Amino acid sequence: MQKLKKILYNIIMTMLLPVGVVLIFGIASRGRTLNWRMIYVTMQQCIVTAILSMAVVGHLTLGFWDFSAGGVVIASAIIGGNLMKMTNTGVIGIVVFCLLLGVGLSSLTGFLNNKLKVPLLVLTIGLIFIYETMPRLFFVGGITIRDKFTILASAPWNFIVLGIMAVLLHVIHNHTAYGHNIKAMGGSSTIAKAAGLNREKIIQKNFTIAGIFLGVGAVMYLSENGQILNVAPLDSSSLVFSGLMSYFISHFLSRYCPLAIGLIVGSFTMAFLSNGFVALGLPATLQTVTTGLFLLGLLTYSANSARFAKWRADRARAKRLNTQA
Amino acid sequence: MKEAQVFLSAKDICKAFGPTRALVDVNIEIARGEVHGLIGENGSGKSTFSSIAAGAQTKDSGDFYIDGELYSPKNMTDAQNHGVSMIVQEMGTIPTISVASNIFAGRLEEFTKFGIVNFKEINRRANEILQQIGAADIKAETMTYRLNFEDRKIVEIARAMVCDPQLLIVDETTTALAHKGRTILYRLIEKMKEENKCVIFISHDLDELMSVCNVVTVLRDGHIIDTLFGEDITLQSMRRLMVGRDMADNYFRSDYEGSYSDEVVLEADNVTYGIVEKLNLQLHRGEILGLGGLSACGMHELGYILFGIAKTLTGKVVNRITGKEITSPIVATANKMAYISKERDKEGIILNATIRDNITVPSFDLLSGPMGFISTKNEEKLAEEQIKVMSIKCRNSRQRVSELSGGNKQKVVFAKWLARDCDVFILDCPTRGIDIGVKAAMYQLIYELKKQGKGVIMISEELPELIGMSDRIVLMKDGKITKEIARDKSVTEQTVIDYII
Repeated sequence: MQKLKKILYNIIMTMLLPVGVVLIFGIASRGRTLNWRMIYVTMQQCIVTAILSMAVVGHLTLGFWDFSAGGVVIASAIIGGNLMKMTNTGVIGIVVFCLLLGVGLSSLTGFLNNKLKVPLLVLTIGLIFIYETMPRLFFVGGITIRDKFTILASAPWNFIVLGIMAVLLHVIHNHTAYGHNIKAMGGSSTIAKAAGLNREKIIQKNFTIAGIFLGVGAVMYLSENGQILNVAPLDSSSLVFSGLMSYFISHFLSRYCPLAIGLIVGSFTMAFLSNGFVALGLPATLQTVTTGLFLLGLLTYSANSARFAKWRADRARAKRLNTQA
Repeated sequence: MKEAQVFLSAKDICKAFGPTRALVDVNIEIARGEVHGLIGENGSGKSTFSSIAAGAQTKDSGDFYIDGELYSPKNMTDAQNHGVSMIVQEMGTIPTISVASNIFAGRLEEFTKFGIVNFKEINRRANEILQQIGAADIKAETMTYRLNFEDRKIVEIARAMVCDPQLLIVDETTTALAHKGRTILYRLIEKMKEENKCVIFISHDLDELMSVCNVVTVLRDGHIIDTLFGEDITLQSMRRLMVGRDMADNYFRSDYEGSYSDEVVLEADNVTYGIVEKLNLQLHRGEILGLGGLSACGMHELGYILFGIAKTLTGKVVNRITGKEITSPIVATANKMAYISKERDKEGIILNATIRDNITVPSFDLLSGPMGFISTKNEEKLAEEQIKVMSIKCRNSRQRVSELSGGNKQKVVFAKWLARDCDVFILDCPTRGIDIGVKAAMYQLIYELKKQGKGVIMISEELPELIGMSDRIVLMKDGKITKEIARDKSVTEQTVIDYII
């Protein structure tokens, strides 16, 4: 019974944030955004962001930031899509080629990081230019696929893919030695190394696994858009930045739900914020500022909740002691 | 006889860090059934030797042999697989993972089937090990950051026992342990001895070494000086061999007068924080006030309150010389107060900065010219003066503090406050983890401060130090003062122990 109560409490606490956001916008828009259609569309929209946020979890646990991840997605989608067309392999071709390219390019980043010993931020800023420019060399027009090949972006397939990736992330991060090794490395690289963990091997594995999620992210991104054009330098970085926001929210929710669920909830919340602002007719600049303030408020509360609790407890204790005196 | 029982032998081990030769042709044999003490001043090479033997560092030359076979560990896990485990000097647990994951760090693959780790089995094994070493109250599933410092150290002990080691290296671990941890460790050492296994025991506490070890090897500047067996292991012989000269039995102050001025320099009035509740304390000019008790009695928290690091929930702390209320470390420093933290490397010094920067940091306001600029020449002068006064062993003032030995680091901590000519000194475990040579110098310095009319609060978990140095001892238990004892020749450890346990 106690366990059931705890599960129920955690579910309520996890859902409080997205439900709260939906309700606030519902009230502000006088009910315009408060309908299942809007929620359903937002759920579909957040899938790519959620998968890309899963890709950066390992990096962030290790204290890394891979600037080139967005470039990997763009390159995998454009090259993978074109290879599918050239080989006429349909949806399977998209999945296979994008996945191979995602894993290959991300593994290459990891390999270069281990071998060149250049700070990762510097290395990945260099690599993002290469990954973004590479498809332009072969496929100037980017990629456009026919509607029948975008099936993975429609329900129920998109939710099935998201579900599979969430389960995969959960298993990798909680039930494999790799998942625990990156937590150990992120906790204290020196102690972990002294305990016999092979830093280079773990980092390489981390990039390869991130590549799986980036590859699937590329599949979903291509399927959702149907057309991807070559991007201007550094444009792809914004793709993974939304994933970063979801990661922050999942951190806030980590007390109540597994990481993968937190990332999905975080992605949904961010997507609904964006849609809600559009529905309210807020100018783009104000939308960005409000989103920033929302995130800042959330993270400030998350980072300081223990301090707030201690402050409240201290105040109560001081009051009690002063009364006794 | 001994030859046949040798487990680990080291032949001509050498190790250098840049121009510093940490180990020079070290030859040691560790026999089964032996608790082999390694002693020496800070920087003598004890920890370097043991960390190489345990796979945490690599040697430059020389060879190790285990049971006569060549042994060169690639890392600590590899060393464990060869039967050599080590409990390290500094904090060695990862806070972001569970106790079980810490105990089996680097070994999770052994519990993996089809890529999935069997955490049920890991937790079971970890709980089993914790139970075996007498720490069943620590649960394998707990996240390590939830444990206190001592329990994390016990987790390290458990990690060392994972592979049923034949040789256990205990590197100055007891410094970080209170009663519970020490009991566990001593029991473990005794068990190792009974089972004909061996232990390398490193400590600066010579009494502890005498009671635990049956062989003691003395190192100085990376060289083996001598090895003592059985009855030859005496305090006098160990001290002499460590510092290279005869040292008096008692290196505390010799007077029993216990006098100080009536003038109060610092007053805590009704202060509360953490376990400390509504506590009153006065420090006088020219007084060494000893604060003693078990590590969790609240004396360290009281140090925080007095220096303004922790804000008192009730009452106040007042510097009676200036009349100012101490509300933060900035106010405390401005009112010529100094604080030396128990956590030297974390709170006392900036490890990656130079000796000069560390010494001059609290004195920037004094070094600033009328326009607010700091003269490098004045900085250099102040640092050089303090290096000379404190006899800090270093290349020059621009050497990084991280390269210094523990004792010299502590001298830098003292130097930064002495340079500011403070009136009140709050010293939290000022001699923790330093050798007797530096310890004696520190005691001399504290006594000098008293004679100069400074007020000194010395927080310590070592009773001989409190009894030997204090004009007045305030004993604490559960956040409250249980007894106040004036300096007297008749005060012994037995006199005070009842008030702290």
